[in-house]
Amino acid sequence: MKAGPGAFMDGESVFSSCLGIKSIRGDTVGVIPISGKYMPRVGDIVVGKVIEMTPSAWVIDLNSPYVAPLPGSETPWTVDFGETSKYMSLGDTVIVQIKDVNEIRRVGVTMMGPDLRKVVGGQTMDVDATKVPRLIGRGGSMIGLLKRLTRCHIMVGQNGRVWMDGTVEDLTVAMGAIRMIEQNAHRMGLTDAVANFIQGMRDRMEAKRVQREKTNEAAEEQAIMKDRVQRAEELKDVQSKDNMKNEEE
Amino acid sequence: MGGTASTHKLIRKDGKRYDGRAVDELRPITIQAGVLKRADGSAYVTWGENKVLAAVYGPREVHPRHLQNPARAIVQAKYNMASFSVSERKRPGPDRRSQEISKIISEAFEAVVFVEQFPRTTVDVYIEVLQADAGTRCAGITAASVALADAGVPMKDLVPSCAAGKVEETVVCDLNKEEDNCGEADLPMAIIPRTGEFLLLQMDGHFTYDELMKAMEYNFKALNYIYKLQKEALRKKYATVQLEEPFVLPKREEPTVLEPEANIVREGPMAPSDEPQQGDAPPEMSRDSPGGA
Repeated sequence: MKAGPGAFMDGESVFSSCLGIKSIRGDTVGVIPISGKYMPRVGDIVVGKVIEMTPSAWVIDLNSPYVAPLPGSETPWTVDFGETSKYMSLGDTVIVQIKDVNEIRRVGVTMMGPDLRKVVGGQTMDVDATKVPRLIGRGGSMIGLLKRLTRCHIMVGQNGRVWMDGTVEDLTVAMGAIRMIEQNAHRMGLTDAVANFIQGMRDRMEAKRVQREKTNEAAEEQAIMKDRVQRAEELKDVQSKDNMKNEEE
Repeated sequence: MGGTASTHKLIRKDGKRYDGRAVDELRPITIQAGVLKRADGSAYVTWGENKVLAAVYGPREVHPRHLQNPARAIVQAKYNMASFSVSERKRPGPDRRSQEISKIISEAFEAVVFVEQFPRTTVDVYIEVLQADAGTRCAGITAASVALADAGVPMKDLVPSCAAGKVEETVVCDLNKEEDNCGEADLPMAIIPRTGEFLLLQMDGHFTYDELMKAMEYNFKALNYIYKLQKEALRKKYATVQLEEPFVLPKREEPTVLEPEANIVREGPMAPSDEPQQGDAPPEMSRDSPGGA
């Protein structure tokens, strides 16, 4: 028997090193952790954020204990020395691939490759990196469902950072659904539950909108009535003044 | 300890303690995992009148930079007592005592966390004592260990901690405030239950050899029990584990103190056989390519 990820050997026995679900592959026993930080792995496509700029590189936050430099030479652009800010600045979101990780965990990333780019617009949110497989689902079933039902562009990085874009209402639904998946990642049959959840959320939002319109209408009516009353009173005033004048005469 | 002579009896004539506990009986303990939303991992422990909150962040980048170790992670524990945790207001901020406790807790956890898996990072453990009634460092370690597991930090084992002491020439387990203040000695301990290795062993006051062995025996039994509570708290994550009635340690058959192995559970914290019965991971838990935009 061998120890897989999340487990360790002590003598002949395998012990878990973290809280999670047992997974046996052949003679290897591992544990899929329930929580934990993202550890960069070569080949992963991640959603990063520019947190620092140097004359020749950007420093990318990977939602991990380790940050990675993105040199100008690893981008599709020809970046002259000192001109990094022309292409990207602090706070920009990028989709990059982990190129290499060395023994002291210095990470190299690249933006050269299909689908790798700087993203414009949209929103990002961070989820627990251990829940990413659940968020994507087997063969991308969950993420496909999310995209279809929320009508958002969604991109899930292996590091647990999600970039998405859509209307404000759709984004609200998408964020709610992703949080719900994160909180219930250990449950079975989540895909159906998510579909229901999204429907429920949409219904609630629709009900709220109708309610809002109704109150608006009521307010408008009220305003009209108020106006009428006011005018009638004004008219009365004028008439009473006229009467007084007449009496004096 | 200090040795303020007590005016009232701490040990009753029937051999029980003044609060009614047997000499080897613990105060009621509850452990709750995952109580804080913003921390990576957290736990809340009530232990008699003690109330301790532990929060874990990390592994994360080390600040200041010069503390970082290129070969492994460092563990930075911070033990802090709230100003309202004791009857006389405690001046807030680190003092000599809390600095010492922070240091020994950091060192204890550095020995259980797989630090070599996270070079150049720090694992920050914050222990906040909200209410103190003796034995807060033990409650703190117990809570911190659950918080570490909740944060998903890989560890060799959970770390239970407990103290025994001497009151009126009698060795007792888990001193409360009165016993601690008026007692003669105190022995906090933390171990790796699976191997019986010591992570923390302090002694304040004097024990004879026999008393020390007895105190350690009480501690080992208590630690085993606390260890089970910790596992239960994690298994029921986000649910409180509660003791229905005060825990009474089983009467000892014979003093087998010098063989700590005899007192120790031989299984890991989450040994494979110990796992939930669902079998393997849920079907959708496969690591797939990221969903393209």
